[in-house]
Amino acid sequence: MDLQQTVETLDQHWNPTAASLYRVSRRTMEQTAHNTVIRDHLGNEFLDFACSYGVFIVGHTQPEIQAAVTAQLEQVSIGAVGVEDQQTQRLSQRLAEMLPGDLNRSYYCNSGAEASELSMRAVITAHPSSDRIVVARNSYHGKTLGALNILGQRGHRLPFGKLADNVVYVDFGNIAQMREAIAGGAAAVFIEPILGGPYLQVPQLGYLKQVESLCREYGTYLVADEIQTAFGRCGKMFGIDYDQVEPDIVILSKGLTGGHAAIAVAVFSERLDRRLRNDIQVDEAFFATAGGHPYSSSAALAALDFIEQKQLVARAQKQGEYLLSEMRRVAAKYPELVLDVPGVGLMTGLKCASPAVETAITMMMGRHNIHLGHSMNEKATHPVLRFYPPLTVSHDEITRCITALEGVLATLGKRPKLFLKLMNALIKRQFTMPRKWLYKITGVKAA
Amino acid sequence: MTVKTTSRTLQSASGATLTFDDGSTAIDLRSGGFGHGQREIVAAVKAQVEAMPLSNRVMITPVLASLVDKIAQLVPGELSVSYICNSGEESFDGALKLARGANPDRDQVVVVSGSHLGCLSYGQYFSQSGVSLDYLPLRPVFVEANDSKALASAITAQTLAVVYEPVLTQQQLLPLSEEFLTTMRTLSKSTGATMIAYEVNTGMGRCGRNFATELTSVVPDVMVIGGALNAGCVPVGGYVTHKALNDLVYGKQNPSLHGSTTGGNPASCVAALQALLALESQGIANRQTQVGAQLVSSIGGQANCKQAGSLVHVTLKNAAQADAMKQALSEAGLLVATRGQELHLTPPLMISDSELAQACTTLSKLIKQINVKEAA
Repeated sequence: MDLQQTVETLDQHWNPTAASLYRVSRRTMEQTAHNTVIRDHLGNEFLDFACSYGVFIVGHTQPEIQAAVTAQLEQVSIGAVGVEDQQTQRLSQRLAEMLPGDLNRSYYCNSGAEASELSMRAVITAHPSSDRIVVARNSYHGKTLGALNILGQRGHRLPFGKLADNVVYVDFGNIAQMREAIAGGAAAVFIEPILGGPYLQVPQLGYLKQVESLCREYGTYLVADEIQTAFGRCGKMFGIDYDQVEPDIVILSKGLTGGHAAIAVAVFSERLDRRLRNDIQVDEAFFATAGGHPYSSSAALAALDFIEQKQLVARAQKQGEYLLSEMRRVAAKYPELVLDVPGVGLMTGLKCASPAVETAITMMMGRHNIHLGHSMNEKATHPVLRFYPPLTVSHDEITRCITALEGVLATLGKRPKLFLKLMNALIKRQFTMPRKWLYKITGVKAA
Repeated sequence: MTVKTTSRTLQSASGATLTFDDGSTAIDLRSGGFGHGQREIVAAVKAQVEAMPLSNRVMITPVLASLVDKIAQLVPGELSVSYICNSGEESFDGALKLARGANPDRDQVVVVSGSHLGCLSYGQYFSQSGVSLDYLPLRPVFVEANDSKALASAITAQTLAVVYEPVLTQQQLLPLSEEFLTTMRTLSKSTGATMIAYEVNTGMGRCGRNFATELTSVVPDVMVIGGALNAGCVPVGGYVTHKALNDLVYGKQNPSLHGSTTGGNPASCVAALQALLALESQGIANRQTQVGAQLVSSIGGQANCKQAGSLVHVTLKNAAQADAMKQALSEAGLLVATRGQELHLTPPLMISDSELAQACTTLSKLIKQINVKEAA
């Protein structure tokens, strides 16, 4: 299939609005990827600061991880029912060694949302009196219908009607609200140590420690969703390391894929696991998942080796300081476009004045062959455009990105205000207006 | 995969044969699936893994287009729009989410009892697994299989979806009748409920047709696929629906309204595409019926058997005998599952003739012994 046929097929048989976006933004087809670079079907090379919102901690197709994964494909990829495999066993041991306290019971899933669902049923079952869950507004814990119950991003919940009524939302970083929610009796708090997604927000140091103290005081379980933060992304191995917190469950995924395989894991504390198994005596079906495969576990093990050997955590801290300080320097000149530059480690972003600004920067950076993590959220008032490069990113690559950003912001700063206003109006209506109009306005020839 | 029943760890696998760290081997009639290490498929997956296993989700993934195109060719009726994710579990949840998008005010789900709907929250809840999940906003209304009258009174204007396995696989092996499914189709249509067939355990040729839905003429609104779709290589799942329903819910929405970080990743798409190409060209569906018949014949009338394609349930005298049989088979290198007094045999789709012959010999020998033992 050529490009046009491919987009037409995706339009007919997959996702029509994604196909529209592909047409409007003149996307090409990905073909190969290595380390920080993605190559398309025309041979163009793109610097990847998008990384599927943080998946490629180690970069793409690193030889060490390739060797492990392709060897595993020859041996056995999918697990067998009732049998443990060596890779998954080793991964569980490794995670237990890496995580604090008695977090040593790993339950494998195929996505972060699956791990969120498992964690939710665990804490509600384990808690003696409450089924209430406290989550942060604008938080992200997955988009399955089950996980949607605790999704802080309201726009993604609303079209699906009334969800579970046992969920309390609090502002991220606001300890008074958290105290009130927990004191009212809660089974658990689900929290991202650093609020991610289009609402990237680094809390005050000590916030998570205070949340932990409240949880301990009131007998509430603490679930740390480290899907975006872990394995060095935030400049520490885990986001919880900043405050030395010991949650009852840690959920891991993105970085654990090693850029090779869908995998997620909910690591339970031994205490919680015992409560479920010994005190409550839940049936074995309670823990059933469809995850835990030699293929994905071998990718995860190789990724952990890579992260350790290449000292990626320290690297993220160092390169992150450079990236963040440069982003702040550049953005400071354009306060009408960029409101703030939140970030820590290599988890950084531009808080844009509007969805139009976010989209304009993304498209113009795309012309410099640099991919950024667009929020895909036209309803957010001030979306954060994410800069999440692989942790292997070089100083020169960051410089290249910043130079391009400087040029892009300078160009954008000169555009008449009306341009961004009109663009904003278009972005807000791009999925609801007749496609013919969208294509006409954006100069797409025809589908 | 979390239920640990043996201290040996899995080291490698090929076809239906598992090899453990202590050097021992076993034929696996417990896990189902596609079959391990199919050479050409592994080579195709490996090529994709070397090029780009996961996408950064900025550009277009060409193999995703090939996969959804192939699915549309193979599924019945007007089903043509696919959502691709990481597991059959997620697909089932996605199908319910699609239904909720169509009818956000409805909260009742009519479930055909005995359907095995996976292990995510709603899958567990609706499979009557015993796990308490009543904090979830959707409520199951259970209906006995093939009881059209009960179905007619269960489906109302409040029904969000009707969910079922076309052949029940959990407690009893029972195909749903044409009449029952026709009633379901008619009532779903008239009430606006979404009819969801769960094909993770029954599809991919398992029941003698490419999808068990094709055992009758009734086409659901959504078909959930997964399991053996992974080609024994990379986890993958998906659902396929008709364009009208997909457009109603997602047609004018930001594509990020539903999705998953690794959903539809290139490596998983290649695996699924390879599995479907094999389904299309290698006579997998026809062979399942023969595989099942051979397994039944190995029991030699010593116990009652039920068969649907290559799924076989063998009813023994009681649970103790079933457990003893399972243990004896395991010691003889054959892994099976039990449920109460039944042995459940689920070979990989690609079990080889020699593996099947070996499994049948073992079954035949031990079923005689265990019966002899009981008689003595």
